[in-house]
Amino acid sequence: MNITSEVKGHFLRLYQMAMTDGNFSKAEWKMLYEFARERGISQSELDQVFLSPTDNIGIPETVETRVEYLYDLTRMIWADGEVTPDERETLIKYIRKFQFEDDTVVPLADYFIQKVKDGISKEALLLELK
Amino acid sequence: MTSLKDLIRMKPTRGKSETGADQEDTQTIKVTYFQRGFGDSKDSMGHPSSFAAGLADLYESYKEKCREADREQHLLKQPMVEEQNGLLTEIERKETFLELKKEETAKLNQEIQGLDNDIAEVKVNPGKYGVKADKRPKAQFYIGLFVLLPITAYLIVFYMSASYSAFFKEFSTDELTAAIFDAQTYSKALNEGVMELIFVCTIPFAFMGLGYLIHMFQKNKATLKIIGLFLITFLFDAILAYQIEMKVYDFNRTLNSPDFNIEYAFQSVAFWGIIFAGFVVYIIWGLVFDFIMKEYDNLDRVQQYVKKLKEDKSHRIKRLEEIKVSTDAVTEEITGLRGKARELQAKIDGFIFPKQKYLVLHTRYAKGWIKAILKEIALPANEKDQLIHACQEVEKAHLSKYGLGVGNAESILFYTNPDTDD
Repeated sequence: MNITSEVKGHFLRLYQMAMTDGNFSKAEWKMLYEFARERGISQSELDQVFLSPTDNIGIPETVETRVEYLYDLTRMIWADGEVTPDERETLIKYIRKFQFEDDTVVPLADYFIQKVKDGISKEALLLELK
Repeated sequence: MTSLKDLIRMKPTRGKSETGADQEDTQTIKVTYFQRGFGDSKDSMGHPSSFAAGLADLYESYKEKCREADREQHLLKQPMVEEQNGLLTEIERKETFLELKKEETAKLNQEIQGLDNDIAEVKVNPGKYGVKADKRPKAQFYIGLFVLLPITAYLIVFYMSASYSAFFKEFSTDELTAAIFDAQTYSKALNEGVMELIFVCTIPFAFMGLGYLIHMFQKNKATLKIIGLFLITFLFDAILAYQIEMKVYDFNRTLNSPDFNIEYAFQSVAFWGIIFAGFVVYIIWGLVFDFIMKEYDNLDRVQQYVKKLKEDKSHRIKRLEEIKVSTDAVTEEITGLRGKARELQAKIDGFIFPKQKYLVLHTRYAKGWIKAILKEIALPANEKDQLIHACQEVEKAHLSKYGLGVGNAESILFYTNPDTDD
């Protein structure tokens, strides 16, 4: 799957959030770093975020933008054609962070993964919200 | 499958909790401290030394009360706790960065070691790396070069001599033995003139140029062109041989001798001797030259591959240097952050004295004291003024003693600096 600069940009913002969020562990930071590096995000960009994360990275305002970010993250996860348990956990963590109701967090993660596997575009997914 | 709309449900946003129930009735406290000041002043007739003791007692008891008020201390220290948590997260993040870089360094060192092995091995076993070259191109190249150099010297000498003999030499009896090879070619050509010398000296290079062309055409598999070049060289050699043989013939001819012609030349041993001494050696030169050029290509292919490996290695070394610079800086930052976190911990372990809050109570107490002097103590007006003035001096001294009179800081922090610990 082609990872566009927009998807990368969204990921970097999510990555910044993880860097300033005390709920993310060392192992998760490392996982995200390797995850991004393997998907072609330059090490210098990642190092920069690692060492000087911008504070106050708030979660996106609208529901649509939140869905957009989460779907792009899922697309990055699926870029290598598999979803590892760690990657699924990370996605769940972000969905939770984005203030979705607890009982919908896991189904939502699986929903995104399935849609990405089916090759559904982000635009088509967003239409479902209308 | 459930639709996205069904799954999109957001948590309700929480409003700020009210803390009104916990608020103290500050107004009541203010009144209490006024009355305490008033009562103490009345009891001690407003004496300044009693006022000093009263203020000291007020200060110490309030300080003690603050020290024991855990909840309030917790609230006051909350910003410091949050700051410390931020610092600890930052330290942890930077430590994770160091771990990542340590792993990357180990990986890069491993890759550099692998590249070093490849650089050494590709020269011995180029096929393993997909480089089409002989295993020992270097030795073959130098052996070829060793053979080519004397042949080149031979060709230069031969063609200089042969071309001089063919184009400029005037034969005399003693020179007939040196019809082909003349040891004096250079000096004789110089005597003939500079142009003659240049001609004689450069003609061997025309033959070498032809040899070089054969190599180039062979590279491009241009067989016809190669045959053409061989024919031209053979023809050139034949002309030289014909010229020399003709001059020798003319020198020896008698009145009855027929004219020199090609038929005669073909039957002459010397004619063929000249051709073979030149043309055959020229072919050998061409073949050896072609061979060493191929070996040079082999050598070059290996060298190119080695160069690429060395470039890969130097990129990794550069990256290692960058990592070293950044990790050194991060290590230093971690030391600084740990110092800050330690200092914050000491402050959190200490206690915060709410200076402004205390000053409000202090003022109420002092006002109560002065009020009692004015209302309850029977003294002449001027003595009352002196007493009030003395009490005001006592108050100033008290505030100064405890560092309460200067600055607008909300509170004073009491803690032991960890850097001055033993």
